[in-house]
Amino acid sequence: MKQTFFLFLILLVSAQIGYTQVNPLVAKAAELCDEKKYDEALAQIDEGFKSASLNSDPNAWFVKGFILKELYKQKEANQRQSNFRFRSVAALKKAREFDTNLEFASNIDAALQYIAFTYFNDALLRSAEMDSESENEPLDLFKKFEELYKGSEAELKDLKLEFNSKMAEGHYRNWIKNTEDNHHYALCLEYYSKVLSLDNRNCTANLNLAIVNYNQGVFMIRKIGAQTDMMDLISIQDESVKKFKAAIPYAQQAFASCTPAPTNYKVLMFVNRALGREEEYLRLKKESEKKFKSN
Amino acid sequence: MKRIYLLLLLLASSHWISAQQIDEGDSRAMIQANFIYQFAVNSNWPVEMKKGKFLIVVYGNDAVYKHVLEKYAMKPVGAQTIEVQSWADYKPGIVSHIVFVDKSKKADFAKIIKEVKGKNTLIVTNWEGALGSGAAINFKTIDNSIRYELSEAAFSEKKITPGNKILQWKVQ
Repeated sequence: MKQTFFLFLILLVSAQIGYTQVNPLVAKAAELCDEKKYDEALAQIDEGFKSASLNSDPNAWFVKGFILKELYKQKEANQRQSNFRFRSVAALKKAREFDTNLEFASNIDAALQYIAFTYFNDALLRSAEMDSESENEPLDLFKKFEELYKGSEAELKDLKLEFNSKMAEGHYRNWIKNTEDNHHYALCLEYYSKVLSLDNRNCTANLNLAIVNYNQGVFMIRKIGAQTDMMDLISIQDESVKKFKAAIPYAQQAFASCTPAPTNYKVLMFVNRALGREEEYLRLKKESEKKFKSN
Repeated sequence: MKRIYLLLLLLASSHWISAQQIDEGDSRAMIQANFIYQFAVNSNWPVEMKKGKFLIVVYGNDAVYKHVLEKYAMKPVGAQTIEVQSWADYKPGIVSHIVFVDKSKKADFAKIIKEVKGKNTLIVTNWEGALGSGAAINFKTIDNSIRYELSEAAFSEKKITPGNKILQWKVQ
């Protein structure tokens, strides 16, 4: 309702100041929007676009973009490949292109920003469901978000951090289904590294990088059994130690950066134990038990 | 408008799976368990010990016991099958093929050495100096990895012959 009100305001202002002659079909489409009759509104504005005079009218393009956005929300909000959303972006970009006097700029930007965030949310949702075949889909959706996003750099950094964390989690989820395949393991590490490149003290990324590296070492050792040759036992152990050593700086950073919690203790404790630093393991264990006695 | 974004983010966040969980398994216990199995299958006991079950006793370390039991119990050593026992207190009179004495039971070591004197029991330990006190094999940590040192004299005294693979990978 609020947005429709803006739409009318725009039409009114445009008409009054005389920059634009409001096409009756556009005005009618806006009216239909107010009644939430978006299909009819779209038919109306499309009719208007049959006349060449609207092709460079930012107001008409904005109204069209607005209608398509509302149709997306109403009918295709759960469709990642929504045609309404795609067409809405195209119309709003046209509106921006012809809005040389910046009459509609703030409304166009607000509409595009809304759509940008729908792409962002779809990217996050897709990362939680992705598999090897669909692993690029969240990236494509995130790229669309970035193309449209017009907010602050600080907010964008937070959003990138969130996206990269979720991508790392998604790849971790795929990796643990088959720990023999290192494809998702490598991507998980890569995405957490991207998080750290944005915020090197990020608690979750440091903790999870410690866990991922440590778990990889333990998973290697879990594979040893009665069929394992002595030489293989030695080499598997040496490889796993490399993973434990890779985990330690992240575990230490998480321990230093995160709010003290049993998990942070546990991760640092287990990595130390795996490296044979038993005294440190026992010291941390004792400290953790004392600190979290009530838990 | 900002509230809408937050709402969208919140909705999306509710779909997340929980973050990574650490594997709580004791990797060093897993490795020690496998080494103990390797010592069993790559050593040769006197013929009188090649009857019945192949008994491995783990003294004072539940994690190692659990892993030997889980992965190697009932596995063959020659014609014998492995039986694993975990002892919280040392039980004299039971003849076992291998006794792994954890450092937490170091105080009992002299008593154990006395108990197994003249028996074909391979003593495996995991603390500095145990080899000099009568253990045949002692685990060591070298560059964060578990390795083992070995006393050929202790093997000889127990009339147990270490296989080439065991000799090949021992450290000094």
